[in-house]
Order: sequence, then C-alpha cells, then structure tokens
Amino acid sequence: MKIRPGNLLLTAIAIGVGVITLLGYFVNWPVVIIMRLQFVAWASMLAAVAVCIGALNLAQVHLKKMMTGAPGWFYSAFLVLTLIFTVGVGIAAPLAGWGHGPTNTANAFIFHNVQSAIGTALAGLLFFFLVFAGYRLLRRRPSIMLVTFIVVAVITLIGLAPLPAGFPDFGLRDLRIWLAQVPAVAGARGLLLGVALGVIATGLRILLAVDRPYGE
Amino acid sequence: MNLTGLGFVALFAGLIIAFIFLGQRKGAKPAQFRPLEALQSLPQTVGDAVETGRRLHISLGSGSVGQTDTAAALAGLTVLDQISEVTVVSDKPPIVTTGDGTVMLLAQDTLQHVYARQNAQDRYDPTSARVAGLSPISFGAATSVMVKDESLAGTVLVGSVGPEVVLLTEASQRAGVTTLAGSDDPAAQAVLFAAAEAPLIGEDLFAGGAYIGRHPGHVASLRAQDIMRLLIGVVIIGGVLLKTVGILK
Repeated sequence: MKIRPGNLLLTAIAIGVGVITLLGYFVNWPVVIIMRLQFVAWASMLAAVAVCIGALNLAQVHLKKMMTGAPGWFYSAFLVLTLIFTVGVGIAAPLAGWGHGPTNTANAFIFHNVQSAIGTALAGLLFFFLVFAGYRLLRRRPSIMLVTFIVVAVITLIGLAPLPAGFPDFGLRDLRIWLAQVPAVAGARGLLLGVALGVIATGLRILLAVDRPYGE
Repeated sequence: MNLTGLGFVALFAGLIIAFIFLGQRKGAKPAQFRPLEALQSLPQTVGDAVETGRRLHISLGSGSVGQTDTAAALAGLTVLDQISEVTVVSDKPPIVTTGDGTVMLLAQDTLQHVYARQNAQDRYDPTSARVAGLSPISFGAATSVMVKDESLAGTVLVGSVGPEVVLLTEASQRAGVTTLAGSDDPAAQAVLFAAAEAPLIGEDLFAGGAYIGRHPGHVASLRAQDIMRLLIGVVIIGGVLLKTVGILK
C-alpha cells in the first residue's frame, strides 16, 4: 500500500495529540495537564465552528431541494425562510434596541415561543409513537426476549398507573419497584459496561492508527 | 497519579496489538463471531438497495465529535466506509445524515475517499452527507420525513441517538423500509428493541467493522474487548465475594 507523507504526518499528529490528552487524565505532570486542557479547548472551539458549518450545510441541502422542486420542497422553503428570518432578527436586534448577543429579546422570544414549543410538542408525540411500536411488537414472532420485554413493560405500566385507593394491585407495584431497582439496573450497568469497552476500543484503534477517520 | 486507569488502558492497547499480530500469523484460524441479526442481514439490505435502484440511508446519529458520544459517531463512520464501498456504484448513491457539523465533514471525507477508491470521483455529491437537524428532536423529525421523500430502500443507523429515534423507525415501518439500528444510549436501545427490525444492543454498535469488513484491527479489538469484559466480570464477582466474607472493607 502506498503511504503518502501528508497522511503520515496527519497520523503522527493525531496519535501524538491523542496520547497526550489521554495521559493528561492519568498523570499529574503539569506540562501534560496544560497541554491536555489546551487541546480540549481547541476541540471545543472547533465544535462551535462545526455548528455553523452544520447550519450552512442544512441551508445548502434545503436550498437545493427547493430549487429543484424535489419531494417535500415546500418544507425546505419554509426552513430556508425561517433560517433567514432568524439570522436577520439576530443581526437587526442591536439596531432595533432589542438587546445584544444570542440572548437578545427577539431571539429569546423565538426560542421560547417557537423552537421550544415545537420541540416540546414533538417530544410529546414520542409517547404515541412508542405505544404504536409496542403494539407492533405483539405481531412479531414470539421469543423469550420478546415475551420478557412485553411482560416487564406491562408490569411497569400497571405498577405506575394511578389506581384508586383500596384497589388491589396484586403486588405489582412492589414487583415493579424490584424490577426497576434490581434486574433493570443490573442490565443497564451491563450494557453501559459493554458500551464503555467499545468506546475505549474505538479510541485505542485511532491511537494505534488502525482506524484513521481523518484521512486514508 | 492514576496508575490503575493507565494500567487498564495499557493492557487494553497491548491486547489489541497482540491480537492483530496473532491474527496475521500463518495458519491463524479465521475469527468466529456470535450471530448478530442486524449485521448479518446488512449485506441483504445493501444488496436490495443496489438492485432496486433505491437509496440507502446511513445515519450516524445526532452525536458529535469531541463529546462523550464521539466513539459512537466513529463506529458509524467505520460502517459507512464499508457499506458505501458497495452502494456508491448503484444508480442512487447513499444518503448520510448526522446531527453535527464535524461528523458531517468526516462523513463527506469518508465518502470522497470511497468514490476515489472506486474511480468515480465525478459522481461524488457533497450534499449526500448532510446535517439533518442540529438538535436531537429535529434530527429525529428530519430523518423521519426523509424516508418518504427520498424513496429509501433501507436505513442503517449506527451512532448516538436518544428515544427520538422512534420517529425514524415508525416512519420506516409505515413505508415498509428495513431499519437496522444501534445506539450507545440504553433508553434508545430499549426503543430500538421494540421498534427496529434488527436492533444492535450494547456493544454490538462497535462491532460493525469486525463483522462487515473483517478488518484485522477490528477483529483484534473485538477479541480484546471480550478479554477485558471477562476480566472486569471476574474483578466484580471477586470483589463482591471478598466484601461478603469481610476481607474487603
């Protein structure tokens, strides 16, 4: 395989920066800690720039969709217009006396009354989608995992239901609490442990130059 | 100085290196993996997309690079690299969605390299890797609309998403589109178990590279993970026993 000097340099920089950042979490050497903090600060700054790049990409994709009249172009047009409007309001706010910076009155109004409201409404819809997903689950080929999942979901729902006072719960409330505190926690910790090992392995593969997401 | 943590990472890295060399020696047996429906049905989903001339949607989730969900996004990029190798030659190249600008740039870079490897640079469209929405909920909503608008053949989601992924899986179910999905978030994994045809549970999310491409580094990393998991299990059980008998305070 042909290795280009540019890629070799990129790999060396990535490994060097990665090793120093990782070491900074484990050792108390001031130089390493200062370098780690500096690298993390640069990464945070790049992440902020990436938000702008993301917004530009979003606008580019929807502008193209709007211009070509692709399916759903109307929604794309709406997105582009609201993007222009919101950016325009942000620029005009100091001139119109609505305050400065991202927390100016106009931006705060849009955030609380439009974005936040729509986000909350969509989050509310998730409940209905989850109920549909649960219903569809009943039509799948039965398996031990599936039956366990459904039984636990039903016990949890009944256990959390606001039953009238004096109404017998047949011990389902206590069973729900036990399920939530013992098997569910054990399972979640097992999953998180596996995910954590996967995360470390992915990071180490980059440090060992097995994976090179920054170039071939 | 945290020597335990440093020792753990050094042991993990040492195991990966050792397994890479062990896997490459002459006469080494090919790795055997436990069956994973999501990753085993992936070639069929990809093949269907190529044959029917419809697009494949590869989503890297709403996670970003530089945060705690970086590894999930990188696992998604590995899968993207391997799947797009096959799908870029079809009439309709894949669409890649992310919820973060940095991951979008990495996805564009990955696609560009794949097109270059296939000598099809002229077919590369930078907007095929795109930011679907900058917040988790807008990402879920945007990808759900995409299922219908882009006439998708299947969705492969490998990345960090929350329970809002149900918006995408439900839209896919209604459109009869297969969804293979995995997330690093336990709440999303529970949702995916109920809503996706083939969910990736737990660390399965990070096994894509080993299962699809059989890359020696990925296979070695999977073997190292198994050893480390076993080691952690032994330490936990040993610790519980020692505490029970009163040796550990």
